[in-house]
Amino acid sequence: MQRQEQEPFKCKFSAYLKNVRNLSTLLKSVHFKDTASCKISELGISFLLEESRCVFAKCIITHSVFEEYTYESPVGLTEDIQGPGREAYDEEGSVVFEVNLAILLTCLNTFGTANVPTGYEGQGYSGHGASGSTTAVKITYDGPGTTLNFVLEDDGIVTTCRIPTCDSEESMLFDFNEDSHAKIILKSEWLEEGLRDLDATSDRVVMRLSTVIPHLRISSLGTIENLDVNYSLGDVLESFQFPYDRPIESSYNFVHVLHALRACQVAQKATILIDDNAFMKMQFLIPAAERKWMYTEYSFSPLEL
Amino acid sequence: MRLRASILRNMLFFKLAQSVEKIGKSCFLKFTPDYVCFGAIHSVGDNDPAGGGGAVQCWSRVAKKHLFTDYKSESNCDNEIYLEMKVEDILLAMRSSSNATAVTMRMTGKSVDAYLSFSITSEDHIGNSRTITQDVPIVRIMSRDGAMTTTAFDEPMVPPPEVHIMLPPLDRLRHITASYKNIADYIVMSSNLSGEMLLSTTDGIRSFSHYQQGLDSHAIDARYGIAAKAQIETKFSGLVNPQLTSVEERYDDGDGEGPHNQRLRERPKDFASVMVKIVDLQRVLQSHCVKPQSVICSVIPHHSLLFLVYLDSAEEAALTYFIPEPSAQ
Repeated sequence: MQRQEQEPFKCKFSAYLKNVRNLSTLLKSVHFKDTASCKISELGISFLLEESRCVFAKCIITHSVFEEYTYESPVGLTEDIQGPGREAYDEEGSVVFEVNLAILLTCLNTFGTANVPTGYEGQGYSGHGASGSTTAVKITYDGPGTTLNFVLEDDGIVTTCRIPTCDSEESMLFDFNEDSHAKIILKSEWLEEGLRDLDATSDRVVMRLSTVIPHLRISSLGTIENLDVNYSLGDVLESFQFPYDRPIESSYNFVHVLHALRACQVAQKATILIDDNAFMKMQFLIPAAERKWMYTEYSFSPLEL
Repeated sequence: MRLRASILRNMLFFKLAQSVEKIGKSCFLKFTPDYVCFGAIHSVGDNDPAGGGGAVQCWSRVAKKHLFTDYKSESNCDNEIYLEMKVEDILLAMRSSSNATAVTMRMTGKSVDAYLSFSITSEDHIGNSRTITQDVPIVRIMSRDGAMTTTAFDEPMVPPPEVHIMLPPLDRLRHITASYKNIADYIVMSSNLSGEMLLSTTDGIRSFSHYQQGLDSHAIDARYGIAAKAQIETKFSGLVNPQLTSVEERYDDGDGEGPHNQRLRERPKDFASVMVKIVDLQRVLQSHCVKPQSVICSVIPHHSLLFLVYLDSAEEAALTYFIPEPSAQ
C-alpha cells in the first residue's frame, strides 16, 4: 500500500506593528530564560515560558494592538486528517512552536530602537529610535517546520530576519482556583520597590495576607535578618479582596518571584492573586502606544513548608 | 636625526592616531620632509578581549601641510624617519592638548632611550600661559631596511576593486553590526553599482562552487551559507556610488577601462560580496569617533574590503582600512 507524501499543514499569519518597541517591551517582561513557546491565533500572539514546572510566565499581545493582523489556520484541520505538523495545532486551530527569545529580541533590536527608556513615563511612551523615527515590523509565519520571519523597516533601511523554530512540548499550567482566591491590586512600581528591598540571601519570599493592617506583607528571610515590606489598603493598595477568615501565609522560591521584576519595570498596574492552595499569580498591565494594553502573567507554585 | 614640528590647531595628527588606536597596540610612523605615514596592523600579539580578529590593516599618508607648521625631518636616509610607538601613549599627549594654544613635538634622547617630547602650552582665562611637557616613549627607531620588513607602511597589493559605495551613517551601521554580533561571527557585505548594499549574517562556512561574477541575495546565501541562530539580512538603498578616478587610473588596463568601469557598464545591479569577521568591521566603524566627513567602501569581490575614511571635507586627509576575507578553513 502506498503512502502519499503529505504537505505539512500550513497556516497563514501576517501582522504589522508600527512600533517594534511594543513587542520588544512585552517580550522583555517575560525573558527570564531563552526558550519560549509561542502561540499564534486569531486573537493574538502569546509566549509562554516555564522553569521546573514551578514558575510560569505568559505574555499576550492581542490582535487589536497591531495595525494589521490576519491569521488563518490550515484547511482540513477539522476533518480527521493526519499529517506532518498536525500536532502543532490545537483544537481552536492556533499554532504553537518553540523559539529562542534572546535571538528574537536581538532581531527586533537590529536598529537599536527596541529599548525601553528607563523610568516609566505615565500613559505609554514615545518609542522613538535614535534617529527620531520608529521602527516598524511585519511578522509572518507559515506553519511548523518554517522560520518565524520579521521584516523591520527604519528610515528606508530594511532588515529581514528568519528565526528557526522547533516543535513545542506540551506545557501544563497548574490549576488555579478561579472561584476562591485573594486579590490585591496596586501600582507595579510599589511592588517593584518592595521586591527590590528584599534580601537576596533569602531562599524564599513569604507572602502574608490578613484583614488587619498590614494587609499585605512581603518578607525575605536573609542570613542575618528578616526584612518585611508592608502594604495596606488606603495607603498603597488600590484594592484588596480577601475571602478567608484567617490570615494566610505562603512561601515561594525567591529567584522565581524576582523574575517578575522584569514585568514590574514596564507595567503600570499589578494584580496579585493567591488561591486556597497557595498558588500565586502576578498579573501585569503593560501600556502599548495609543491607550492599548498588553498583558503579562507570572504563576508561582508554593514551597512546601 | 632630527624631528620637530608644531602641530596645527586642527589636531589632525592626534585624530589620525585615534583612528588607528582600535586596530592595534603599535603604531608605525614614517616621517619624510613632505608627508607623514601612519600604519597599524592588528596582529595575533595584540591581546584582544573582543576575540581574535583577522588581519585588519590601517594606513594613512598625509601631506605635511595638513598636520604641521615649522616641520623638520632630517636623517641619514633621505631625511626619512621610521618610528614604532604605542598608540595609547600618543593619545595621552592628545588628552593633555585638548585646550592648548600651541603644541610642539620634538624627538629627543639617545637611540635606545628616545622620546617624542610634546610641549603643550595652554592659557587660562586671565591670560597666563602654562607649558607642560609630555615625553612619549618611542618603542624603536627603525632603519630603512628594518622598515622594509614590516608591512605596516605599505598599502597591500590588492586586485582592482569593482564597486565603490559611500557608507550610510556609521552610527546606524554600528547598531546593526552589534546586533549581528549576537547571532554570528561573520558578516557578508555586498554592494552594487546601483546604490544598494546588503549585509547578511553567516557562520563562515562556504561552498566552493565555481566563481560567480554577479550575485543576488539567494546566490550570496548559497555561497557563504547562513548563520545557524537566525538568518538576518539588511538592505540599504539610495546610497551613492562615487567615481574614484585616482583609483581607476591605477587599474586601467590600457583601453581606458578597469574592472569597475566595465562592471558599471555591463552589470550595475549585480552584487560584489566579501565575507569578513564582524569584529574587524566593528573596528573600522569605531573610526566614527573622529567624526569623518564620509566613508567609502571599495569591494574586491571574494577577496577583501577597503574603507576610505575622509577626515575633512577637502578630502585631502584620509585613512584607509583593509580587511581581507578570512582564508578558507
